[in-house]
Amino acid sequence: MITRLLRSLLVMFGISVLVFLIFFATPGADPAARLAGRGASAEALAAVRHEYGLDRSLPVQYGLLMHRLFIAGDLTSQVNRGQRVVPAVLRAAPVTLSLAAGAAVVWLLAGLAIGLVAAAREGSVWDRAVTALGLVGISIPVFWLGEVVNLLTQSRLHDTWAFRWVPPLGYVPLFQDPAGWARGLLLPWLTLALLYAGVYGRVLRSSLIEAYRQDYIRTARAKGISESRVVLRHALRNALVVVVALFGLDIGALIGGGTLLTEVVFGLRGIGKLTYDALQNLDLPVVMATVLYASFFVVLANAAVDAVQAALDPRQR
Amino acid sequence: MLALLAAAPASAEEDRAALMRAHRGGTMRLLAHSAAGTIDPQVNYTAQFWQMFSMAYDGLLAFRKVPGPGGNEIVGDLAEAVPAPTDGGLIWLFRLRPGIRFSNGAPVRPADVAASFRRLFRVSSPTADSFYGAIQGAGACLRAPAGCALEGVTADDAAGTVTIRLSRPDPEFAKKLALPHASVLPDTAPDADAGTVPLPGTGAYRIDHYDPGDSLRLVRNPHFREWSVDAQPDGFPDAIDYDFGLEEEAEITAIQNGQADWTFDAPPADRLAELGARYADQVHLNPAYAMWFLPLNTRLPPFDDVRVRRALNLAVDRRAVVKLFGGARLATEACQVLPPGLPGYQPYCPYPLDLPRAQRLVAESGTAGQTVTLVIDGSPVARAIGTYMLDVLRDLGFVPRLRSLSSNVQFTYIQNTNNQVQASLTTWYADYASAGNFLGGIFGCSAFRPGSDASPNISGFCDPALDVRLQAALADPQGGAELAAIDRIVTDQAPAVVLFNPSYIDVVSARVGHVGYHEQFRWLVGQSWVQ
Amino acid sequence: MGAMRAGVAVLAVIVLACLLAPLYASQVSETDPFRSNVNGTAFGQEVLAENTAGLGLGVTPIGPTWRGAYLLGADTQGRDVAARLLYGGRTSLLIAGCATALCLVLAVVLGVLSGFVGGTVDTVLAGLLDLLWAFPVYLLAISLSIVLISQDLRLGPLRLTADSLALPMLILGIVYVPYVARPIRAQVLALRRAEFIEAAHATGGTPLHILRRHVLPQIWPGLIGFAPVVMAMALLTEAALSVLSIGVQAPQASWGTLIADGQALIYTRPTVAVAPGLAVLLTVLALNVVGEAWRASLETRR
Repeated sequence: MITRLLRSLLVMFGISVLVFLIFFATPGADPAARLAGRGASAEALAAVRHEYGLDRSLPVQYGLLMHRLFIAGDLTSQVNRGQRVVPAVLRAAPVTLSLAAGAAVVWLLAGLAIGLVAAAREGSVWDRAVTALGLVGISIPVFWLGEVVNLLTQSRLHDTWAFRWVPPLGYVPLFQDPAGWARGLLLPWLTLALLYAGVYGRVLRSSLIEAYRQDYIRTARAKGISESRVVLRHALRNALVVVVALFGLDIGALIGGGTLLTEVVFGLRGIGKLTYDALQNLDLPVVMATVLYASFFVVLANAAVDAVQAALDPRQR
Repeated sequence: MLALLAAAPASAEEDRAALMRAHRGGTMRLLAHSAAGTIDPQVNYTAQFWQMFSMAYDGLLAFRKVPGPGGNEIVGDLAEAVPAPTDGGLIWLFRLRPGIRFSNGAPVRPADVAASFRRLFRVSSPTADSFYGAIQGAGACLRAPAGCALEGVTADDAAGTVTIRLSRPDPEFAKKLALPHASVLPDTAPDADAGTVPLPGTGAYRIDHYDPGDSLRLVRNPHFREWSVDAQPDGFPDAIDYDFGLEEEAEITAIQNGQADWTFDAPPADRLAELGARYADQVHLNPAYAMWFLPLNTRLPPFDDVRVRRALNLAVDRRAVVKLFGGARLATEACQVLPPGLPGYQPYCPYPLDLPRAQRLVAESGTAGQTVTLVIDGSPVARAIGTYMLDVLRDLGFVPRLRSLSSNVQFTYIQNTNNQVQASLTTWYADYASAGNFLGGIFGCSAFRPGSDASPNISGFCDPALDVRLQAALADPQGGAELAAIDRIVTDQAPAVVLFNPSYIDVVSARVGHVGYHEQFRWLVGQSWVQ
Repeated sequence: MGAMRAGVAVLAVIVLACLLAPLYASQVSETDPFRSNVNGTAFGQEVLAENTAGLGLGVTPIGPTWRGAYLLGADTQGRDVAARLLYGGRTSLLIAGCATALCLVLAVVLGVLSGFVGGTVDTVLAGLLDLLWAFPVYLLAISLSIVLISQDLRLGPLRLTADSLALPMLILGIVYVPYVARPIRAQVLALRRAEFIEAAHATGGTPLHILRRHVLPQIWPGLIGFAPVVMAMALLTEAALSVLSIGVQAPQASWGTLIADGQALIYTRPTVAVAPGLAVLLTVLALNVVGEAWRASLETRR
């Protein structure tokens, strides 16, 4: 456990150094002139550089950055003077969380339905259609799908009965207006879920089929236990081990900002959008915070998956 | 708006009172893709927030808040009137209006004015040198901002006066005092960039809250009593909400659907057709004192040869470029430095499209075959024009390269001589209506600072004799003809390829009324109503 | 095997069509797909026509003509989208193909080295892979792209300029390495403990010999299975980077840059963005079908 923690910390440290170095390799990254304003004098530039510690050596700058991010918590943006980074991340987090969690519910339910149907009728038209859907889902460029969805629902078909309810792009906080929150996120959820629903359906299908062939299920059937109980009790429980592993990694990556493209397309100001804007503006403090935030969830998800798997699957104990 | 302009002054006052009664109230909802940095009126140097500052802060003087050409007139604001400077233009004596209070309730005293000018230097305002460097003691303040005393500005609280002494006459000093950087703040304002913490001001609105990642909110200033409708008029809406973060596409949709009232950003080219056809009443076009141009580095090959610079000017089809920008209604082709409407503007274009002549010039220079890299920002229009310029450069016999940098970074990158940028695409919007802002601001020797990210003279073009002539022409009220001559000389030297003068396009929602365009601060937000 | 054949057939058609791009441009569309055509005309109308309705704002490119030239219409620069679609496919496929090759080679080297040598080498390499693994793919790709397109990359005598296709190849080749290298490392680790390899060691086989005769043949089929999947991911990521305008740079075109061009026109001329999107979808789908079929055939062979 301790070694695992140390390893994770080491990985995150490595990532932060990598981000720092990538940033300083970028030309035009010196934010002093942007902070000081158009046409600032040499004296003003020097003052800004000193204020932000940009005149110190790289290791010192790295140390200062980390200190202000994790210990003092007062790290500020290098683009919008005075904008605190930590609150900005904390405010963006619920947006990404809403998007990822909602999409996860959609794809898990859809995946479950797909998997059950396909496994029950192995080799049928349904089975094949489901397999095909899964492949199409992972083959669609998500930003492009989002654009097409926007084109149809915001413009082409916005005035028809089918899409009149679609609100303008953007995020409505859950506690401010729950209905508006769900309405605004429904299309992003569906778009994002399409990527995963097919995959989960197929994974579930193959592990269910495998489970059906196992001896203990045959025994259960032979004992006359009803079909639905067989599926629910035994086969599903077995298939869950695989799904949990997959799900943990996916959701970890998504909550950490893997929803970047979806957020950009649908105008959702989550972690992904924050990261993307910060990268575009070369805003190192924000980039550092969001990348570490993202990798934290990836690392956490990896650990959680191992733990849950061990609990679910006695063989791994 | 037309009716308002035509009306006689007395009835205009009555009209205004009646309109106020009928339309006062509500919340104006503005949008922008991103915030514009610090909310400190003495530091922020963006048109986006200057528009807001004009409603929340006052200086000694102000631009008259009326639509049309009258907007370039300077009137007394916190000061009773625009004084006539004495001692050969060196001493300016201002008498403050009595009874004005800051939004925190404190009265405005001459000491606050003097403190604000000191603060301008103490926070290293970007224009401390270029705009206010003529004030006595400015030099010392620039060198050591922390202890800045600025002896040139003296306050007499008993007499209610402020005296500003200059070390050299400045013909544009009154205009500079009307810009947001010369805003008067309480002397308790911290000697550091306020960042996201709003400072108290004297305007009709006060900034209630600012979060660059989310929104800016202006509400009525409870201590505001209208003292001059020209300088700081009372506003119609009760509050102004400014939300950040939507893409341009979504902003236009929101305005069309009545979910927002205006966006700072230009609409995407894709939406122009529909805006022009179906929303014509809600679209307002106004020519800006601005240009899109390609600075050519006169200190690097191949553009250190004037023939090559002229050749590129001759080879660009400006009609095509205007089309890429969105058509002739949004931009006017231009070859010269001064935009229409500024003092000294006389139409001049020595560069009609002539590819064969351009190719001959390049052949004479012997530079064909060289690699030319054009640095653009990542915006769609810049990419379109940059892609077109590749063809032009190729037609001239160069090996063209395009480098696209993120919009936020590109403008400082192309200024720094260390980056060895041969050619770039950028824009220049006037700080205020002045020929000097163009001829001196982009092509003057003092705007060229090697090795600095803040060197607006990107071309590195410098002719000291011409600078002297320019200063003389600017100081001379009858200097128009001389300015035109200087404009022609710079245009002939071709330190840049001027492409076109853009228009501002403001799209408002159906409920917004009384839209007026101000020459300095664009749309006068507070002077429009939402109900 | 029907799915495999269908997938390969679709891929073959796409590759062939893209290879014939110059023929299409010169014989059918008869325009230069890499040259702006702002003031040109086609079929008696302007390629880019200024709007006249109402205030007369904006410019609309010629739409799909369903004739030879401008079959799918023009983009904002007045270029033939159909011809650019074919040329863009060449770029996209080339980048994805080379990135995949690079990724697999790197992954095999790292995975085998790490799994076979073990010890400190393994600790260091596995740590490196963990690091890349925890760095979200899109963030890594975007960060690297932003840095590399804003300056030239110098690797010894080699100099890659921002508009070089080698940059996206390099970036895409690197970011997916952990996905392949980690399973390979695990497989090699398992093999090292396998009896037949221990037997080979015992009979005095040199490590290189064991590697060539016993280890590589074992990982080879799985590796081939990775190829179409990695290529599919690389195609999607290339498109995403180009849409964010930090992938393939002008004047080069890829399907991603075509989608980006099309986004600027999505409301007036949706075909410009829809067509390259469909091309990506179709290609990635075919690749995934092939990958799927290959893996299925591996399982049945076992």
